[in-house]
Amino acid sequence: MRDDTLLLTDASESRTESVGVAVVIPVFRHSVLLTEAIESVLNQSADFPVWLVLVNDGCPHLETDEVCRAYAFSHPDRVIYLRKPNGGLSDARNHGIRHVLDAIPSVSAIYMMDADNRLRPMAMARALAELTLHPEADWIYPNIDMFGLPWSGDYGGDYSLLLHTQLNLCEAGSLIHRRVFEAGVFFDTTFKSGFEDWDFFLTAAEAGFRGRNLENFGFLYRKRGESMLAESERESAVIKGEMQRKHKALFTPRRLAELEQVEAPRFAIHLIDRQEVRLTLDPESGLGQTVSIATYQEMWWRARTAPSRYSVPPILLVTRSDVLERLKAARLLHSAFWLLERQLSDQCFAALDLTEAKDQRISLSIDTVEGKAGLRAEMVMIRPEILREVCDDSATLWLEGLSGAVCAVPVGVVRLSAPGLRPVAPEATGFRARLRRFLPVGSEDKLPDTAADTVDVVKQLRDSPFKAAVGRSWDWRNPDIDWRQRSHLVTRVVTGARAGYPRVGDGRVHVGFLLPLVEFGGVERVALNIAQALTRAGFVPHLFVLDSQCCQVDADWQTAFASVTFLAEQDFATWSAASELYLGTPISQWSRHGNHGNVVAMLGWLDVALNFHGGAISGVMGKLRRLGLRTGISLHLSDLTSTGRQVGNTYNGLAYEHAYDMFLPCSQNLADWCHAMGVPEEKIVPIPNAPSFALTKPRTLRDLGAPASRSNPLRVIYLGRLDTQKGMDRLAATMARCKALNLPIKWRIIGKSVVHASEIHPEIAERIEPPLTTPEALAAAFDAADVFFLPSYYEGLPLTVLEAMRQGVVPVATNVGAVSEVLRDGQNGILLSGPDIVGDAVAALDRLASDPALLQSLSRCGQLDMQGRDWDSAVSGLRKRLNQA
Amino acid sequence: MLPGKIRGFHLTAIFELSDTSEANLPTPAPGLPVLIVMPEDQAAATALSLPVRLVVALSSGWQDDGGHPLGLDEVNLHALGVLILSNDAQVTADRHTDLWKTTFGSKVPPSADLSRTEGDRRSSVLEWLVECFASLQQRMARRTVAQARELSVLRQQHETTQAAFQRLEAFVYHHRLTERYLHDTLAPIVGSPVLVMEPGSNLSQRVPGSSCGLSDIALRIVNGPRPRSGSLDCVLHSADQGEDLAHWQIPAAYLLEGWLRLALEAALDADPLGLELRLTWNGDAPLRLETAIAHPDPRFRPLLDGKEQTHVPALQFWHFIPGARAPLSAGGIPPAGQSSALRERRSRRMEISAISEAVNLDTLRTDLQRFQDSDALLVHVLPDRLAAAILRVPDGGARQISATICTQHRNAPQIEYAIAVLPVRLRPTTLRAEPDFPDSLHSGWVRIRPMRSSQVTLIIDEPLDEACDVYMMTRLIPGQQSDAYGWSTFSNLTIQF
Repeated sequence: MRDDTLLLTDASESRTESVGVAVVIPVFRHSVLLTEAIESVLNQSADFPVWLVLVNDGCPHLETDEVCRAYAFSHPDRVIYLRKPNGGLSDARNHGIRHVLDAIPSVSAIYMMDADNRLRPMAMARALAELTLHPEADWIYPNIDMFGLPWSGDYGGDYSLLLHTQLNLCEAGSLIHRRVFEAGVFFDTTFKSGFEDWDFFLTAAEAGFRGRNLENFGFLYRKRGESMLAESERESAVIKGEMQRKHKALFTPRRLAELEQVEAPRFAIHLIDRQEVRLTLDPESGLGQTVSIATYQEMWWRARTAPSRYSVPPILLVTRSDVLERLKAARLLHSAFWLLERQLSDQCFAALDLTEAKDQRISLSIDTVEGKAGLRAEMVMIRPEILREVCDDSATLWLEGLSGAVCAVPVGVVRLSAPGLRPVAPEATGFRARLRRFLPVGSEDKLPDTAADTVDVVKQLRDSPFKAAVGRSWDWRNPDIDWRQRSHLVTRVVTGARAGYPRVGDGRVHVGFLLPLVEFGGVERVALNIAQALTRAGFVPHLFVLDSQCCQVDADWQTAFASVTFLAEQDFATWSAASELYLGTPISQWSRHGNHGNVVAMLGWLDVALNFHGGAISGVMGKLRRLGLRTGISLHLSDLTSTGRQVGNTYNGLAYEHAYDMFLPCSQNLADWCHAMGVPEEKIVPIPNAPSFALTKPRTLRDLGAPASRSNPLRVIYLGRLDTQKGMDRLAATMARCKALNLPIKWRIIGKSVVHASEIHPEIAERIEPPLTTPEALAAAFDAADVFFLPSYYEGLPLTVLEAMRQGVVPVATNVGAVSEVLRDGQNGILLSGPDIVGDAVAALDRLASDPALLQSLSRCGQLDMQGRDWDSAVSGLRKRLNQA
Repeated sequence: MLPGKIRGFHLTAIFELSDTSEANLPTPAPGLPVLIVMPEDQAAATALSLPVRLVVALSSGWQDDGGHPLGLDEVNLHALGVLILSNDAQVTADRHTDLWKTTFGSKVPPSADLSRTEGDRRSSVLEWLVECFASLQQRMARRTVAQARELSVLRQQHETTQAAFQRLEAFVYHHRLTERYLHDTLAPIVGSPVLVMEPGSNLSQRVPGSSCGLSDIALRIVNGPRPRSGSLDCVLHSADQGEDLAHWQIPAAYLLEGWLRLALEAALDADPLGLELRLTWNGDAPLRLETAIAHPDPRFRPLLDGKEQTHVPALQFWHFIPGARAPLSAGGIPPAGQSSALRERRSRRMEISAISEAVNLDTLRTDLQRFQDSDALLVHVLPDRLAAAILRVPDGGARQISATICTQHRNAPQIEYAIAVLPVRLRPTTLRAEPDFPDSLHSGWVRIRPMRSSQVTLIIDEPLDEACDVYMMTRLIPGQQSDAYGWSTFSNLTIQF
């Protein structure tokens, strides 16, 4: 019950041998009914003292004073009468509590009573006995038995802080151990419109204290048509908002997920091969519980019989242990669970279909199969309401439609393809293994039919003998914790998502990398290298693909990221329609007004979220920041419009500057720009680019030998995306003019074209080689070059320049972006800054071809400049920030 | 301090007003009324030897004349007024007024300003105190009068309610709405395990559903070897009240196969409670109880000698008007240890299931039928002789027996009805032998027309100590020959003890 990790003070230290209870009754405008409350306290049957503290909270009724005074005179040994200026219910309670703490050291617990309620004679004896019997409990709260307007509410079952965030399940009329107040927990006097008790107990719970329900407490609540509670209910939205703000740390998806994992696990994972059920929120967490199928069935029906009291994982999921293992190895386990649960919003069932990828790619698609085809799945998730309906139904025909030749029930199928996801046939054991010898070849390879397994699992559950207990009225109190059976929706309230992300923290710092797509672009390579560097530093990076349903993941990616998640949100687009501009850069409608629920859920559990050119995702960063995440935006360059105006992620970042804790420019040049544009200096944490891949063997300084000639031409390489930004026209013109001048140059063009074939100059087209994806191939390409040519119109700090210099390849590049930050003209390369880029480029190449000493000098200087330039150094500033509490 | 001491002091103070001798003054004690004085006046006030406690008002709080700080509760509760004896104290008193308002949120108690009073200041203070007490007395008198008036209003309302309730009760009894009704059954299930209570075993079972109106609980005993000695103790316990609501002690002889119905004298009232049924079996052989369903909630599983059992015992629950007494059923076992008053007022209502067990005097067999599935027993009138149903009275000591009678066909002849009682040992053993009833044990014949409902009542002045039978009899009126449509019935057989 007690969350010791949050305990501020060691309760055992403050525990005393004192025995006795003080009942604090604040009085304001209840001068007549008060006597019933007082008499019920004086009538307590207990073998310990019960003091009564009447706090007249500046009640304007003279009668209140007279009644209190009369009882104080009549029972001077038991009744204490305090009077104070009006300060509200909380203030009056605190006044009474403080008096008890100061004046009656023998009191071990204080009971909060309203002036118009009553207690049964055994109430205090029973409550204190419960508190004593359960030292892990810090307050004992009652069920609510109302008189006046009679009604009884059951608030029993294990105390759950998770549910307490959504429901005021602890009535103020609780017996609270002295240690709670001694730890500094009091009623908040700013809560004057009600729910001050809710706030009090949440504060206590945040301080590590826990409550316990006493079923037959003996608390009687006077219910009338109009009351303070009724007023509170009318203003509940405002008060709840206030509460959420006050208990910010509690109302975060991360904290709620932690509570959900411990108090009300969301998933019952029925493992067919192991014949056991794992109860957990996070499928990878070791905090889950594993039970037998019989135990699970009993739990399920128990929760059906007393839904307010007992939790059972709301979502049943049928699969096999090897499926979980394969998903885990592919870093897709959490993502798969999340995507499946999201399907349950619209579908009765969600199914996961896994296939082995033929290349190094992960891809996702989502569709339905009802009425179209049979369901092939390795995991089936069932919507909670459907499971209940199916179990109540005596017929199974509808359910059997799940595993029919053509699926006849609504199923959302999530199809994931990735390396290592190949379905495997279950290993035969026992009789089945012996039987295999007699079966036709191939018959033993039959893949498991999880749809059919699911039907069997549900039928077994439905046929449980415990089913007979449902439908009868066992408890006379009304079940009133309806959230108990909807515990999986709690995080959705905070995020607005269709499903909370099923992951809990583990004490490490989890860093989300948000990328619109993952291919071989520079931004992706920077993200990868930062992730690798952070991993080496002990952080845990996770990859989130925002605007694509497939991504390239080679071995480096697999090791750099602990998980891969696709947002798979149809409404999201990195750059979508915009009706507003910030400094000329469009701010997407999704960013400003879209439904961010799923994104908040997907990222809310993280410690840090870093946006790598995610465009519209900036619109969510403020929400994430309010949930306690640290946010950052990685900036690489400003794009240029056709008229040469700067636009893009840099400006988008400025528009949301308030939502970011960190700006992570890839160069000092860009860092200066950010500051100049209004980003506070403290927020700017440069991560200067470094070569994006490691060399497998160390390189010595390069010896470039004799001048270029026909037989020994200058080897010039262009390596990168083939698009207009990169200066394709300049490249083609340079090549043509060099050819016309008959310069001894051998050109090599490597990269993927992103423009139409007709836009590529024939000079280039005939030389294009496909992109290189491995470090070895890239290193070999640079090894086979003397000069790296990059005539871009705009850049950030290109990785290829750094990689070329590292291997002694002399860069000849336009002076754009932060190129000049590393490329010093005439010292470690040639910087093309003049108006005639092509002319300057041709002249430079001519000089380099004819002057091997210059080439050698520039090469060596570049190589020396790049020594020590690596990503571990680059992220040092970020590391420092992330390590700050 | 004991209650009443304050009042005692009032009197003392008033009586002593005329006594100015300091030596005779009582010593002020803690808890006595308090006069607040300013520090400047402390010495002068002490010198007055007033029969009250003096409390000195400081800028931050209050202390007694010995310099000890006083609790705010004590100051607020006991302060009678503020005494000002000097001009300097007047200024301090203004500050004290602010302190009082800030601390207690109420007006400062009245003050006696004697700063300009010459002469006997003590007498002046005492006069002022008398005024204070007189004012207090007047206020309390007004309060007492108001409360007395309110009580009289409530008393009148109570009388009205009582009268209305009495009429309602009469209506209920007149219309025979006194049957405890079966509210719920946890039926035994074939194949469910049997709860075996070994001698000395305890079994506890939480009672499902609402306690509101609960009048009877029944357990079901399995067919099998019957224990021959010992007894079953049953307790109905309320966790909310922390007490046992009823206790039954049932000898082994009563533990027959079938439902064992534990009856409360009165249905539990409208205030719902959590209940638990606790059984202890002390007998010479195991007692076996039938079970109903398996329950997934441990709270509703029986504990047999502390061990949780999966299956809930088969149970039946009867209800009646909450808080009201209803006649016991024929098979209902009343609680043990009733007060004699309750025992005297006890009554039993014989349901149709019990009446149907009656022996037919004509055949000496239990072949009498219910009338058309109603709650009435058909004791069809015979053309030439007495027709009677003979039923064993559950307990001895019956004082009054009554039944509703009705001839259920409009073409029936006029029929006479009667009830009589005889010791069981005198029950006829030969066919058509008509018993000879003493007048004191015979109700006399009641003649009714067809389709008219009436009642026949037997009042027994000297109840029989031994086991008795009740005879429900019908006959044709003299001169009638045909028993055609003679659908003469008895129902609502009620026995008052």
